[in-house]
Amino acid sequence: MLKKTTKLMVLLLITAGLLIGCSSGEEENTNPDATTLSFWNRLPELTTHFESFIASFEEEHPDINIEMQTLGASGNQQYQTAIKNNELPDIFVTANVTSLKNLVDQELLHNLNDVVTPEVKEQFYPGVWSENLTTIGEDIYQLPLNSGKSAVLMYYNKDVLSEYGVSEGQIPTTWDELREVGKDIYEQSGGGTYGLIMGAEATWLSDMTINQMATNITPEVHPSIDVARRINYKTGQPDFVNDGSTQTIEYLKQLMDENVLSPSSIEYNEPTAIANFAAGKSAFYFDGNWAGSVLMNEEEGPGFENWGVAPMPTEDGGTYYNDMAAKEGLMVSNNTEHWEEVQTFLNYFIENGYRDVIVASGAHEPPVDIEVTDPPFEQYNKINELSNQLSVATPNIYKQNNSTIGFIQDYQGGLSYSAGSILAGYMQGEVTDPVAELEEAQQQAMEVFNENLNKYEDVSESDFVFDDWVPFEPYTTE
Amino acid sequence: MAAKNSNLSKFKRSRQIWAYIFIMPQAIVFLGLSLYPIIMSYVYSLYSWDGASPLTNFIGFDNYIELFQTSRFWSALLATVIYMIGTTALGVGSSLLLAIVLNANNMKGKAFYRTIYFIPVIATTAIIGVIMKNIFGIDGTVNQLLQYIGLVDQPISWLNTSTLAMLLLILIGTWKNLGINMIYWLSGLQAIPTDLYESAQLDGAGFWKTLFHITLPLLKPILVVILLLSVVSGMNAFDLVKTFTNGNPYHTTETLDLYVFNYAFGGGLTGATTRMGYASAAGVMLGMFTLLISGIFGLISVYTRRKINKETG
Amino acid sequence: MIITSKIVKYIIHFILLLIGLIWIFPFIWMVLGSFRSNTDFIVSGNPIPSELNWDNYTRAWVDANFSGYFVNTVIMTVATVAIVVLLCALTGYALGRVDFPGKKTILAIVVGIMFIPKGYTIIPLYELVDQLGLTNSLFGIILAESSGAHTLFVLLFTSYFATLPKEMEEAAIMDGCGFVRTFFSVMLPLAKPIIATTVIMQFIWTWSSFLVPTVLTISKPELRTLAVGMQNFVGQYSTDWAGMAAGATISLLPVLIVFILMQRYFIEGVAGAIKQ
Repeated sequence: MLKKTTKLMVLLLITAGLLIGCSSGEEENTNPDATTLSFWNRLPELTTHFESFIASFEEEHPDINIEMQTLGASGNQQYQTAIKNNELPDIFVTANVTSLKNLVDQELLHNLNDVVTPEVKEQFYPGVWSENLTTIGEDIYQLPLNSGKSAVLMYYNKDVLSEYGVSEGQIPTTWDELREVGKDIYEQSGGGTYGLIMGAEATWLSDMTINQMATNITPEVHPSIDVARRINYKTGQPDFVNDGSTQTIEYLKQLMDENVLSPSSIEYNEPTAIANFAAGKSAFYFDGNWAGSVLMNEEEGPGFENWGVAPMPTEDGGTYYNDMAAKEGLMVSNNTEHWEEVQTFLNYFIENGYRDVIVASGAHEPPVDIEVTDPPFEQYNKINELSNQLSVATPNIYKQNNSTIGFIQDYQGGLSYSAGSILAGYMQGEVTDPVAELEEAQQQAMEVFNENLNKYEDVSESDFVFDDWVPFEPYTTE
Repeated sequence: MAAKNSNLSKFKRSRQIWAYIFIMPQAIVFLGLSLYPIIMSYVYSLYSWDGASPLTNFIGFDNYIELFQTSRFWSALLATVIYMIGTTALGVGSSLLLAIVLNANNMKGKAFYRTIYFIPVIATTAIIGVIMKNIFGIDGTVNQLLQYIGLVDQPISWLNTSTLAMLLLILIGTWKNLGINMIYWLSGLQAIPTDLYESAQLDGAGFWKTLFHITLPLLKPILVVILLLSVVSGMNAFDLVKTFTNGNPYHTTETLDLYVFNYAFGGGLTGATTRMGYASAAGVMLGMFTLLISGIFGLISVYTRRKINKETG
Repeated sequence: MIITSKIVKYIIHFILLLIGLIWIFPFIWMVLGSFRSNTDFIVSGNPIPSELNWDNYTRAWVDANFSGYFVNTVIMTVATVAIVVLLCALTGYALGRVDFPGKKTILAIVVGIMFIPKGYTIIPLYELVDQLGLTNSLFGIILAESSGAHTLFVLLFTSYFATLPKEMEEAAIMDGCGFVRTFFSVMLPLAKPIIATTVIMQFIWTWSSFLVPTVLTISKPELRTLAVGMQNFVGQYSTDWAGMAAGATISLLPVLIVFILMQRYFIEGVAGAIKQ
């Protein structure tokens, strides 16, 4: 039997070898003397454009070789291990596992002051330079990849709208209008098509949707899911139970009960919801500004073109807002042995990357003002226009008091409820009274919040109170 | 005589030394590579730690206290126990039935059936979860089939009704592991001497009588092994739960292993920051519960065996 | 036991086949899915592909680098299985055939370890392998994969070796074989069924192992394995389902072959040990 095993193993190895032999012809011709920089990319929507960008960079700089790795679902584990063992790659897209301040305190990051000189810095939108996201104090640690302006929008399927006689002028702007249009479409189609689809299984997405929609009713509560979850900037306290969140959750549930919102929504995550929207299963779809590039993507998305985009409807037809946060960017490891080459790469990126990677992908708006003459797709400029309109600079707690960074990290870690998951539970029938659930969330948030106030002596409630802030108006301290 | 004795003891001692040498490699690999990570996760559970900062913030048993006060932790424990009991109860019995049928001497195509029923065991669990999620989705194959036959008008929301989701989880978990249990049973059945059956046949005992009076009583020792293995694997349900229900609806199918993962790598519910210290505490508790439940099983089996011995002897 | 009635036999075959079909339906579904287009996969519940789409396999094999991962996985799995078999056979032999002080304690530890709460973070393991200078090498992965208590295998070997008659060993000693040679040339070859059991089960585990290879190859993606490579199909905003189905089909085949080739010994192996 042992012989048999050996035979089998040999057979497997030979097969594998043969198969490898077939595909090895594509090996890249790399310059043996070139310096190799390792690069981790966490954003799959940018992968293909990064690849072509790197190819053209290597052509122009044959002495530098970029080894890009796109991190998959286990990216967080990889980052944790690399941070803990001081083995971060030369260049990487911001890790989602700890705060920028933490990385800087551990001396893991190389500051980018030499690359982003004051002159270069001026080319960027001022909003992207923000404490704990791109900068710590006066030093720059992250080269932002996007403008940080983003919002949840309403996409509409033009095929479906024209089939059921809804003109683009009739795109709903209020909750009631959406209900009416949705009911009408459901009835006309005999139940085959719904008014709206959401990717509610991705609770972070419905959390963003609810938080932003709710600012129309309760604008004092910060809509971010990253910085200060559900903190009311007027009272300086967590605020889960308010008209904004309860009415929004009730409204979305009502849409589902009235067959406006597809019941499949609770099973869909983002990609499946997008695919079903593109396949004409609904007229409308709520998703972030990046969804346009997914809709257009022929390989990984549905490759669907005939859609338009508008703000989400609100209770009274007024506007809503999201905060601005340049979360994603390029960082450099303090351990890099090739700082010169890294600088060359970053400079090349500042010069060409915003056009060739960011704009070309269509997933984000670049952080610098470049004129998009040849948009990646027709609706790209419209999406950017909307996110510019809806994404507003809000007070920055980190800037006011640096100690709030650790505070917020611990506060968010202690929360175990989110509006998005309560909505999902309500739609699934597991939560019967969303207000009671929100009250429980509120109670827990207050406990965690007060515990941390005790723990962080230099943080007080007043750090979260901004009397001079008027919601919907860009907040500047200057 | 004395010389022989000393020779013998020399021979014995050399054997003993060789025995230690034989055990050494396994011991080194285990102590070196397995024990340290286990000990460290106990250490981490005493810290407030996000997994990436330096390990400096010692908080004693605060993580455990927080854990005990969190209802989501207790409901995760409940889900784990339900899953464990469900898969064990269902899997152990049905795999025995299958093994008895496939052990029949004159059964044709045994190898074929064994392979068929073993396939789920060799497939990667995470992929099974993804496939099943598609099959049981609202627009999935099962619902389409049911609607086509006319059994239901509206698609059934398999994954978003807590009882159905848990039931499916148990069924799929059972399905996945039935093959390996079947193999255990088969080996237990083959260990039964054939002359016992032959003499039973001479005595005129039929199929059922043989089954209840010879086969089943002799399978008791393997039953204990299968039960224990089922319990341990049932308590550590992760890949399938993560990819099939991901804890939905509203955490009703969130098992402890998934809970640990959600805090260690997924940033809990909020997707904000990871809490490795808290997750380690939950992991330690999961281990404790597994130990406790296995211990109870062990005690019961020892107790019943003694009782049987007393009755028969 | 013998089932005599012919009708009963036919009924049993019918039931076994019917359940068997349902049993492997998910895999049929997977193979069919590997020929479907992505949109079709997400939107339609009908598992039958509208046309045979071999693109998914090309995408998995070439674009997702399954060709390279395949070799890595084979090397990693074969080496790990070999090491584990050797380690467990050695331990099992010592425990099963030699009386030495502390034997009972070691046996108790081997069993007890099965219930010890496992570590939940990969970081300490990474640190260890890193200290040995073995990160980003297949050898480091193999070593980490071979670790563990292997309670089941050790016990199988122990009880199997304990049942072998004393005379065999004595005869070998008469022939002038020492302890080590007796083990390798006489006793180990007799343990085929247990070896087959260990091979199959360890093969299955290592083949689909995911976390260890991911983390230990953080800066050398070309060393990844199939299970890790599967992640290439999952993006933050989109998943290549059809490519994933093709990848899953590719990675299932070798394990299936190993099982079919060894299943006879496999059952014997567990059976032989349980006779005890």
